This record gives sequence, structure tokens and C-alpha cells, in this order.
Amino acid sequence: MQLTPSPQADHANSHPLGLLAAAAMALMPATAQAVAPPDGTSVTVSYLSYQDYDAQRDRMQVHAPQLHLRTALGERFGLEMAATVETMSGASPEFHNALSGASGKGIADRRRAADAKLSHYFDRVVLGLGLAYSDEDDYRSRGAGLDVQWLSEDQNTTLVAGLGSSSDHISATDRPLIQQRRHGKEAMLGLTQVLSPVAIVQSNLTYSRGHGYFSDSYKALDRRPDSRHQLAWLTRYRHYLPALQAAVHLDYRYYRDSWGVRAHSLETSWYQPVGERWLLQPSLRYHSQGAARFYSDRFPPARFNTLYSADSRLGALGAVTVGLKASWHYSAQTTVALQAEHYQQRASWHAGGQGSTAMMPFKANWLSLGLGHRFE
Amino acid sequence: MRICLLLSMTLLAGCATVQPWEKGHLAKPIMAFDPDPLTARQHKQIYTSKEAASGGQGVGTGGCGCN
Repeated sequence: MQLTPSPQADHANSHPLGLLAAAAMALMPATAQAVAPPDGTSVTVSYLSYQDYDAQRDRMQVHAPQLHLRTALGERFGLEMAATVETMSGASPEFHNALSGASGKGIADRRRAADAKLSHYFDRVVLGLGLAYSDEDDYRSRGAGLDVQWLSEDQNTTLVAGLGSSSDHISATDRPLIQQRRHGKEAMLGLTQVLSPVAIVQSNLTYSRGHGYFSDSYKALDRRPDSRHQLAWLTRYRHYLPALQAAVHLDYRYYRDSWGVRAHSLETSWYQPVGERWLLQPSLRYHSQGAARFYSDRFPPARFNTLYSADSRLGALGAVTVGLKASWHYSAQTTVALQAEHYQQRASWHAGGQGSTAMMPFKANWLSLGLGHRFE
Repeated sequence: MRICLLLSMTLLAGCATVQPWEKGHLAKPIMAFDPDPLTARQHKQIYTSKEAASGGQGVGTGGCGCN
């Protein structure tokens, strides 16, 4: 969320792209009115279809209807909620690229997840209370967070501080004796600064400490530390180009954790209105990560009874996502959006040299179709 | 030197007060930090399940059995 109070309501009617701007509000948060609850109620439904694969075969497939709601509750409160049901099927590697489904043991699971955030708006302060829930056959997670935002008197600077916690229960569908727990605590500090009439930047630092069971019981011989401390520093920049009526988004995240993983994620998007009814949004993301200390390209491990993982996701790799989203504004209140993205992961794309050699190139495609409507 | 200059310019720009009536562009939905909350959730879920890094978006967002 961003606190950027500005006069904006009359833009929709006076600007040549008024219909586009107004319709976009149906799918987008009312960031310009963050010192007040959302204007009206907006509802978005979408359907996600996801498939990943490597050179040999398809891996996981996910289908997920999704719902998002944002509404005002009186003059001082706002509520945001989201829910999804993901149906997953396919095969996941037992180590490196060796698929469990290859031996006839496929995976089928359903994940139900929901989150809600209630915000209380004061004159220059917003208090937010969030709850999150995720439930699968073999994993249940509950999270809660509290954050406070302060807006400066000139309304150009916002500070945010937050605390959160999570409690997870882990089991395994094929081994009923595995009943494990994991607990986490999080803290966040952030700053949002208006730089000019066309530029704004936000920088958030998040630190989390987790204790409990972190191993993956579906991975062969997987044995991870019983704690994980993570630091994520996310900086986001937005720049408006009046001549093109377009916006450029640039996000960079630096990440490091107590397992020895160091990662850089860089993402950029271009928001280009076309005519009165269309918005095109090409995007590009690059991610590079170093391996966890206990990750090994070797299977089985040279020694047993030590920390060990052959999970390629903990290896050294690089990844690229290219995407395109097209939104069509049927009216000032209703928008239809189609988004397609392609993702590739390769060891050779690891920044600063060859990554983990046991990893095969991995790809994924996903497509989502959404319908948003804003009720006045 | 160039980096210092760029940094100084950015800081100077940051210190300049932007008046409320100059914020029309910043208020546009396409300038939001999270213009599409459902896409943000999709990306968080997909990248958390395929990569080792996560976080930065907020607190109390919960986890999943995907990694």
C-alpha cells in the first residue's frame, strides 16, 4: 500500500483517457486516496492456468480460480480480501531432476488460501491488521501481521513499520508419522518518498526468523537446518512519462539468509494506455541466486547424518520471466484482463558464472484471465 | 564520480517538496506500487515455489507447502 494523497477524482472525467483511467480503477487499488478508505467496492475474479516442464516431460499443472475484494467500511475503515483454490497435479523431483511421478507416484493436492486486511484510517496514520490462511492435504499455514503507516505533513513521505508471525503445520500424505511444526516472526521497516511530480520510490526492509521443521519430506535424504533467518530488501520505483501517458515500474530485491543463499531479483514493467479502452503491459524479470551451503549437486551425499539437500530450488541458478498483459475497459467500471507469462530457469544464467551443474533447464507458462468491476 | 553525482541528484530531488496539485500523475492507477493485487499474489506463490528467495512485500502474509 502506498500513501500518496492527491487530487485525482476529476481526472477520470476531464482527461482524454478518462474512461481508461476510471475503468482501471475497477481493477486497481485507490492508492491516491490511501488516507481515506477505498472509494466504493471493487471485485476482481480471475482464473489462473499454470504448467511447468523440463526437456523430458511435463511436471506440475495448477488451475486456480481467484477472488479479490476491496471495500470501504464506513468513513474510517477499509477491508481487502483475497481467496483462491489451487488444484495441483503432476510430478515433482525427488532430487535434482529425478521425478517422483516417473516411478508412477504422481502428486495431486488442493490448496485453499485466503487473506484479509482491515485498515483503520486516521488523518495521517493508517493502522492495518492482516490475517492469512493456507491449507493443503499436507501443509497448513496461519499468519498474522500488524502495520502502522505515518504520512508526513507535506504528504511526500510515508514511513511504515510492521510486525508479523506465522505458524505452520507440516505432514506428509505418504507418511502419517510425519507431523511437524514451524514458527516464524517478521519485522518490516519501509519508506515511501515522492521524488518529483512524476517519480516516486519505496524501499522496504523485511527480516524474518523461523524455527522448526524446514526439510522437505518428499525429497530424498533432504535434511535442512531447524532455523532460517531471512532478510529481504525490496526497492520499487515508479516513473510517469507524460508525453506517452505511460508508466515505468522498476523493482529490485536483494535477499540473503542464514542458509547462505544470496539472491538478486530485478523486474521492470511498462504500462502503456492504447486508445481509450486498452492498457498494454509488457514485463521482464531476472532472478539470480547462489546455492544454500548444504545444497549438493551430488546424489546420494558423500556423508550421511549431515545437512544435505539436492533440491534444485536451493541451488545456484538464474531465471528469466517475460510477460504481457492486455486490459480492455468495457466501461468506466468494468475491465477484462488477459495475462500470459513464460518463465525459464537455468544454471548457466546464474550471475557471476556457472550455477549448479546437476540442474536441468526448467520452464513454466501461465495464463490468467480476469474480470474486474467497481461498484459505486 | 558519476554514481555520486547521480545519487546526489536523486537525494536533491527527494528533498524538493512536491505540492498536492502537482500529484495528478502520481495518483494514476498505473503508478501504484501494486496495481494488480491478484497478480502480485500469483507471482509470490509461483516464485516462492520455484526459487530460494522470498519476502519484502509485507508481514503476516503466511506461507505454503510449496517450498
